[in-house]
Amino acid sequence: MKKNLKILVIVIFLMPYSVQAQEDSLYERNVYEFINQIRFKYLGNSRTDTIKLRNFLSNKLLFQGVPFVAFKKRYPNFLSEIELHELGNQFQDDTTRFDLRENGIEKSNLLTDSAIKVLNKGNFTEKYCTYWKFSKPCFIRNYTICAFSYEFCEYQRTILYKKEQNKWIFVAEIGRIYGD
Amino acid sequence: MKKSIYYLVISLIFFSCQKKDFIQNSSTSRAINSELNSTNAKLFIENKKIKTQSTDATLFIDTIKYKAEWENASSAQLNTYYQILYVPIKYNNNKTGLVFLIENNTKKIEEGYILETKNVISDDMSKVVVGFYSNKMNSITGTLTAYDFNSKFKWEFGYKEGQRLYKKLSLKNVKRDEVVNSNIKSNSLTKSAACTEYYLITYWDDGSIDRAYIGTVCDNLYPCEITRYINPANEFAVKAFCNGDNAGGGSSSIVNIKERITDPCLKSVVDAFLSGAFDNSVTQILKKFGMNDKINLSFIQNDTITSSKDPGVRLIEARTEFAPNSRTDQIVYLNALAMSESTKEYKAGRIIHEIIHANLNLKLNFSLDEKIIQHADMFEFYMDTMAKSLKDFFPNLPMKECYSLSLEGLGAKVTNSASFSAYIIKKGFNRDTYSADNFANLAQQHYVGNDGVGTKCGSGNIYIPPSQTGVEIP
Repeated sequence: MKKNLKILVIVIFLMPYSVQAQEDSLYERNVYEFINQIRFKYLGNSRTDTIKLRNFLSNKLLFQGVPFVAFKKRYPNFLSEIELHELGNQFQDDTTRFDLRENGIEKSNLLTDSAIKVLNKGNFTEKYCTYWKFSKPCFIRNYTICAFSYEFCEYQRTILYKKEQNKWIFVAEIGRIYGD
Repeated sequence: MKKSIYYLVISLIFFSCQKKDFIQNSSTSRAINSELNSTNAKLFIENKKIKTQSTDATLFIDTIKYKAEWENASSAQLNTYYQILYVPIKYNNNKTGLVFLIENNTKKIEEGYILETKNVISDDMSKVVVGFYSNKMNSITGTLTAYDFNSKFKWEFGYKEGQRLYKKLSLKNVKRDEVVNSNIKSNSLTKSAACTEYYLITYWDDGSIDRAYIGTVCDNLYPCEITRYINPANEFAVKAFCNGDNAGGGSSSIVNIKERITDPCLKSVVDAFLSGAFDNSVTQILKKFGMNDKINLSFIQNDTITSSKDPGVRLIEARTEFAPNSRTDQIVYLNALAMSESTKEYKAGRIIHEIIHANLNLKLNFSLDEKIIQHADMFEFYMDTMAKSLKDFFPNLPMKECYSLSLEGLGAKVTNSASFSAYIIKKGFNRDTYSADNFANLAQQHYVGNDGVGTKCGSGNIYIPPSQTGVEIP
């Protein structure tokens, strides 16, 4: 009886971690599915060759120039206030990095931190136009809406996608840092 | 029955008389109108004569009055509000006439000018003029040239089989302030506190513009005017008379600012920089920035330009680069498609941004590395002047929008910097995604053309100071 009680306590104690692990796994699955889909469809069209990519996803400095006021004016009914806040919190509050699994993104060459350090000591092209930076995809509405940002060569773009019949499709550009 | 026939005959006689009266009344009314129009037109010319200070111009007007064939005048309705009166002049094989734009109700003459035509054959020139104003020139191949009653060139339009090939305008550009050499190309002109430059500008319908610099007059000299004269082929020609001399004539230099833009909206913005406020825009902007104002610039529309930093892949809105085989001449490529929804203010912001790039390209030995330095330079030194330049063009545009538009296009390196954060706070902006004061909010709204923001195409024009405008295009 005492033994059973012990097991129960342990199970109860570990339950949140288990739920979290499931959630993490669900998020991870969606991240790879999302990026692999849009990678070929939207990131550069003709760019089907291997891209160099930071080996992690991070939101830091990648959701700049996203004014919800402008978006709401253009698409007043697409997202509710609560959903906008949910997205905004993910943009700003999520400071963790998501380390990408080797071969997790198709046709990509993941650059390690040390490789990036070397590039950053180089000239403009090496620093800014060699590799892509991806944000963490920010999902809402049970993984059917996603805001995602990327940067290449000083140009930063934040796009809203929605999932329809298992395909991620472009909804709107919701922000950008233009640099030409 | 007999009675009915009797009534019928009486009725027929009655109505027949009524109709005749009506025709007579209508005809009389037309004659009165025609006479009224002619009288007003003569008065209009007489007033022009009274206002003129020059003996030559007085003689010219007298000759016109004497040679005008008022009895052969014709008129045609332009629209509900206006009609056209055309009076042929016994001169130049009847290729010349007087045109008057008359308000239907008041009979007031809104505009009058001398029209010379080349290769335009018609029995009723008033209808040709109506076609001209209505943009329906049928199958006409030829030119229409207008002069005012002081014989100054007003405009010229060229047509081929009804399609417009070009319009040609004279442009008077008054410089009012410091000693400057504002002519982009010519270094040799003497400038002083108040000079006026004259250009003859041809806007080709393929989007290109030719600018012939005709002459400059300064201070208290007699005004330099673009006037018509009769060449050996007994045709009107155009030249500038400055202080009694031909101050430019055939040997005039061509100012090397060219434009090849076909998108009407983008064209209207570029034209505002180049034509109406010509010297008060491109060169003036460069001067305000303390820059080299002797750049040869071409503005060319290219809807497939990609980033020099990501060639062949990413479509961009604008790019400035050296012309082939040149280290001085530069081309500003503008992508009308990429800015198709954007406001005029947004487009103007892009153009100012590119003009600064053009100058920085000359300062720095242009390469990708320096592109980022250029954006850093632009941010550090030119933001206030950029915003003020936008304000000059769009006086009703709030300063905050001018700044947001000026901050557009600086790239992630600049916007990531601490100095950028400090600057935007100083200007009342922030980085808050939810805030209307987000630094990108207003620029983004101009970019996508949100309702209620800025000037949409076809809904207004950039402000051109009256003193800078050339003649009005009909």
